[in-house]
Amino acid sequence: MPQSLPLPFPVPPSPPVVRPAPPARPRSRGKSVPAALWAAVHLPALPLEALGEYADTACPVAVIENDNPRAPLIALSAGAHAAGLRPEMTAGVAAARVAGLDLRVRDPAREAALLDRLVRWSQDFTSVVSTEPPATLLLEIGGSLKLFGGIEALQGRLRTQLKARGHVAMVALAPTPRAALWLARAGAETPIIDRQDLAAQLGALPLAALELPERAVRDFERLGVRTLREAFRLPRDGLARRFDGALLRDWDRALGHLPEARRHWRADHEFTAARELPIALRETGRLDIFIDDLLTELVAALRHHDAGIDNLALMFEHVRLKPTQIEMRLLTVSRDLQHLKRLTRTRLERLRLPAAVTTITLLSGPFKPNTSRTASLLEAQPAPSAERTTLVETLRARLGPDAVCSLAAVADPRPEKASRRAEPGTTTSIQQQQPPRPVWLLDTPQPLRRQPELMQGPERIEAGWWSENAIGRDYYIARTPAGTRLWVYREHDSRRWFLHGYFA
Amino acid sequence: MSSLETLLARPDIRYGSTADRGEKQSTGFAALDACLGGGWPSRGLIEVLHEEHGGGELSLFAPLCRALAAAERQIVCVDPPFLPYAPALTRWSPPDQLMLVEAQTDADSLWATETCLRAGCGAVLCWLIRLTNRALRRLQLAAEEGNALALLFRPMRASAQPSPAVLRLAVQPRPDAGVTVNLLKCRGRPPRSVHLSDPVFA
Repeated sequence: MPQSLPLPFPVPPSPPVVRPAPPARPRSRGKSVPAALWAAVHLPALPLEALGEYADTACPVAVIENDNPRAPLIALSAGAHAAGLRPEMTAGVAAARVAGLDLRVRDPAREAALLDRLVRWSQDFTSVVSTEPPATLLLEIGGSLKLFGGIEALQGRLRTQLKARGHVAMVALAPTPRAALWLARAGAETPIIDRQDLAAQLGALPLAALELPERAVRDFERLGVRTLREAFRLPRDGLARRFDGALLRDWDRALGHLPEARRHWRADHEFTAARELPIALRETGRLDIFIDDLLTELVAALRHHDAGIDNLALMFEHVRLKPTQIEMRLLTVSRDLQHLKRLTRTRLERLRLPAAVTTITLLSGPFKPNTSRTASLLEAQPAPSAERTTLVETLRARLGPDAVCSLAAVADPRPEKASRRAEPGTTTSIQQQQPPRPVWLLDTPQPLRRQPELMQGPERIEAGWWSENAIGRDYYIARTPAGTRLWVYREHDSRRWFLHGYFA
Repeated sequence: MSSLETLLARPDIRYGSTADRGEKQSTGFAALDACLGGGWPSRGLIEVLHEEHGGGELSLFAPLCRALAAAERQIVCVDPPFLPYAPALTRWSPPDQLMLVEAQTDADSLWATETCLRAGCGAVLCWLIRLTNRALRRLQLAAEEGNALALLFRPMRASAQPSPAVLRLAVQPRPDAGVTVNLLKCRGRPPRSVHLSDPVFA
């Protein structure tokens, strides 16, 4: 390794290169645990495929980042390639060059959805799958080789299935996930089995495989570096300084010198079930038994997963009309059957169905870790907070989500800003001593014709000068002839009297 | 069964001596406690009649709300005439024990009140306007069942309507900053009135 000269400024320490001896694999019953092998599935035309186009179509189709004419092309169909388009061209140039070019703006949401569908598909091959957005899946297939009959067979099967699904894909295999990722991006599909071969094989890859930020790409170009080998032949501390430590760490991870932690994809559990009604029913009261049935099933599924839900939807299908859907949100994760039944009942009481119902479908939100109390024999009274939650949900189910709130004091000198709505159960810790305040505050102060009989005051409030609604007021406690107590003020500017609250 | 027994078994007949049983919650005002035989009843409907806003009708219940909040019991305001003002309420109860419910219609308002009463809230304050005798009985029943207090604030003219309430009182402010509490109906006790001096307007 080249020795660097002492530099006049501090240099971030380059990460140590750890070359551990291959760990001894635990052996059980004489069988060795299969060595890790990663398959990277890279989909260069994913932006195109996500929009419902086939990448191998003869029509010229190109996807652009946004609808700016200077936006670069990010994915091209075979037809567009054949017409002479290249990814580095801008939309304007491409449109001028190819008549009838179909330019489409990319849709990241649909790309993510497609990637998610592919992750689900890949569960057939292995349960250890992670994604490398925007367009790559990483599958740990070391444990699946035997089942699929070897490396070539597995790689072939991945390719065939991807092709059948209409994808253009690169499938690269390597002992580390990052190496597989780089190989796939570069389109190098020869499997690498041995870690010893990694450095040589990866070194031949073009720098583009790293998908570096633009600035780094320019810097490397200026150095005349085109391949990974040339890049990583540069002094490590220099690399670390120029391109921060991440690049070196990635290189060490690709070679297997550093471990790589990846977040594996896990399926969201959800519950969906439907009941076809024996006869079409209109009255919501008669739907209860079917809904109760669905809820019972849901709660059984939740108990099975030791999970709870915090939202669920019911869909009522009609013969010719659009289905009626109601959604319910819970304040806390729950799997209490009685509670769910009560909530849906309350909601159904208010529901006006446009027509008779033929099918009821229950869709749960994603399962969440259950936080509700375990059923106990000894606990006679539920906790007050649990009681409140139930009550709030019941009220909201009928009156709407905004109908229930709590109030919180805010440390603002302006009286109308000192109180705000809060979620029930919110605790505020403002305990400031201030002159008496009325229980009822008027939304808008009411002008008074004359000065009332003052009992206490004045309390001068001048605030809000930093914002548009500045106030300057003298507040008093006043009394009417009948004896009621008012909170009134005189505005400094206009010298007029206003009623602002009642000491009820 | 003799006619007397039949008569006594009727649900709308009650015994004067038994009405006083049950726990009482101090009102926080000695004079009023004495009149009520110890304090507010611990459950049931209390009708509070008053003429205008700002006559101390709400502050009369501040000590009760403080005590309920201290016992971790929920206090709910259903459709109050104005928005309660949080800085004032901090003197009443910790704000997290107070809840505000806003319903669109009278029917929803009554439903919300009943639901809160049956759900075991400590006290439900409501300002229902048009109430049938039946609705009043339902409130009383819900409060009894939920072991809660329903505080119903109504205009003075509602005194003409018969009431199943445990307690019906009229609150009038006095020039000296106190209030006069007229006990119009108090189960097991004769009607009378009490003058409370200053500390009502807390």
